[in-house]
Amino acid sequence: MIFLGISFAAVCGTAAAGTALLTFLHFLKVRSPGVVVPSVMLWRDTEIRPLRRVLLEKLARLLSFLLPLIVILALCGALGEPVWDGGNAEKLVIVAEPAALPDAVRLLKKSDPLRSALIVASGSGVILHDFGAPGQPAVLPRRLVPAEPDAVSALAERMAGADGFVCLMGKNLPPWLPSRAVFFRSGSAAAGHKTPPRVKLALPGAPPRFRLAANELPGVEIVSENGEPDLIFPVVPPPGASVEETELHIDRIRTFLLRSGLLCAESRQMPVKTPEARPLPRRGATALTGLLFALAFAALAADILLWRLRKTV
Amino acid sequence: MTSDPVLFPPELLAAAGMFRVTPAKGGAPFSSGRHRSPRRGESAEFQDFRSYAPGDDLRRVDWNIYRRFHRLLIRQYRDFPRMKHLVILDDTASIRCRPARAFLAWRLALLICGTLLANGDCTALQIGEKGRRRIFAPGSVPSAPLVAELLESFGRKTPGDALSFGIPPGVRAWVISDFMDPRGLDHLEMCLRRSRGFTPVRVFEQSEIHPEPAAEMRLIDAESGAEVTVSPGQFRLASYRERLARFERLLAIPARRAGSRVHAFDAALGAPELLRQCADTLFQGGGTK
Repeated sequence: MIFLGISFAAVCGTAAAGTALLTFLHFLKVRSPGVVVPSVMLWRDTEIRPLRRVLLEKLARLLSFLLPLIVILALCGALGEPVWDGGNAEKLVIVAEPAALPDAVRLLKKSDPLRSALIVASGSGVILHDFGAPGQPAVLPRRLVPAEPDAVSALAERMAGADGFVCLMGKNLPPWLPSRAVFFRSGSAAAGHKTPPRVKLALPGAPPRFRLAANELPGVEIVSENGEPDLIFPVVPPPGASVEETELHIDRIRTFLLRSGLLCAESRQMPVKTPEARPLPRRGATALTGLLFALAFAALAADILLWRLRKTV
Repeated sequence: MTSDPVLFPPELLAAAGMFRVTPAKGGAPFSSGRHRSPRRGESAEFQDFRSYAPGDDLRRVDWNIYRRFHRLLIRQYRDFPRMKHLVILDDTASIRCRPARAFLAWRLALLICGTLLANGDCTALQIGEKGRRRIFAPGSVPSAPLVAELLESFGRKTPGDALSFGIPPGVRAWVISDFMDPRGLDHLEMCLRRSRGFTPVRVFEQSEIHPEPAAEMRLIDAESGAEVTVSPGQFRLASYRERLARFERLLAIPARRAGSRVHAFDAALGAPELLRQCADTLFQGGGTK
């Protein structure tokens, strides 16, 4: 589940505030006094079924509180524009050079801590954060601590598994990248990255300028539909593949970036602000915004209907 | 008027055996029962002659006629059977939810049972839908077992089930209840149309006849717990009156079958007013001895 609108924390905060307000109002509501009478038989036309009637009355009373609560929660959720990706989020292993560590930590904070790991690609090879671990540093086994970055990349690939992503962050593109790996140029070298040739591709909601390179994507530049120069999205498709064929790859990388929150982050050299960036969710993912709005509307309608159906005589 | 704190005040106990029940079909009070019957019996009231047949009791032969006309005729006498009454007392939560209603219902039970017993009828009392029928022998005054039975049932904390008006055959039944069915008027109608005839003795309150909701309130059914929110602005008195009229028409169904009528008593009646109304309406034409 990713949130494309307001952040998850903002959704939770708004929902909590709305729930607290609703609960306060619910208990503040002045209820009409209950009077025990011998029978209500003469007060209503409908047939009275004792047990079911009582349960229905209790349910209606409960619903009068629950339905507005559902409206509030659904609206808060809709503001977050959640996208359901099936719940099978990939693992993310970040391999960062010491110089890129601040960026890597920022990326880690915006990722799912249970499915993220951070490895410092220095000679010591320290795992700063392991999957689900509370963050205690752990030293790699000795046989996996060679100084070569390729060995660390291999370790990262193994940790990420078949579906996971490896995110390499540093000054220079390593000579060998694991499969499903993304390289982020971090630091001063990012400014001097050679711009690949441009290819126009329809990408509604222009992403901010970001330089990245992947092992399967040699130098093709993809520009958003409006083609503004600072919306250049340099992505490299696999060798021999056309741009149309790389759409899936690009989409997956975009999804990965969105999930990690990196598109909303700042690069050290290129501060980017993306307030109006509305990226697409991954293929097959379900946007839940409309569903939540529909749920809020249905709950509101049910609440009004219930209010109209109150047994007043 | 407020209900008296004592369930059975002395004047009520004294009066319980003082009423006279109007005998059915004008029966005379000098026989075993008081109700005229077309059948032959052992009473002293002569009914008819018939010819002697072998095996007849010779003590019944009218020897005066034989002496004058030389014919053997048997004297036949009218039967005055003892009536069997069943008094069913409603002890549901609707009756017990207010003391005045319960007081009135139990007092009516005492008066009706005591009067029937004092008039020589065999009377059974059933308290609640599932209560056992206790038969009381006729006597001149309400017997102590009857009062004890009523007092014991009055002290019960658990209300009984709603009445289904299952009347056994061969008895004259009296049902003391408010006839409020927790399942609604339709269910009440179904029960009443299925049941045998009985005399409905209805306990009511003035608020049922003239409802005046002053502010919005939730009415909670004492029996089922169902709730109805009453808003003065949306209250439709005409609809309520229609339901009330239908309810009263329904009560007339078993009364017609029993050749009786509906008796209604206001729960606010005190003991003196209750005795007066019983003398005037319930034991109409009987009065006190």
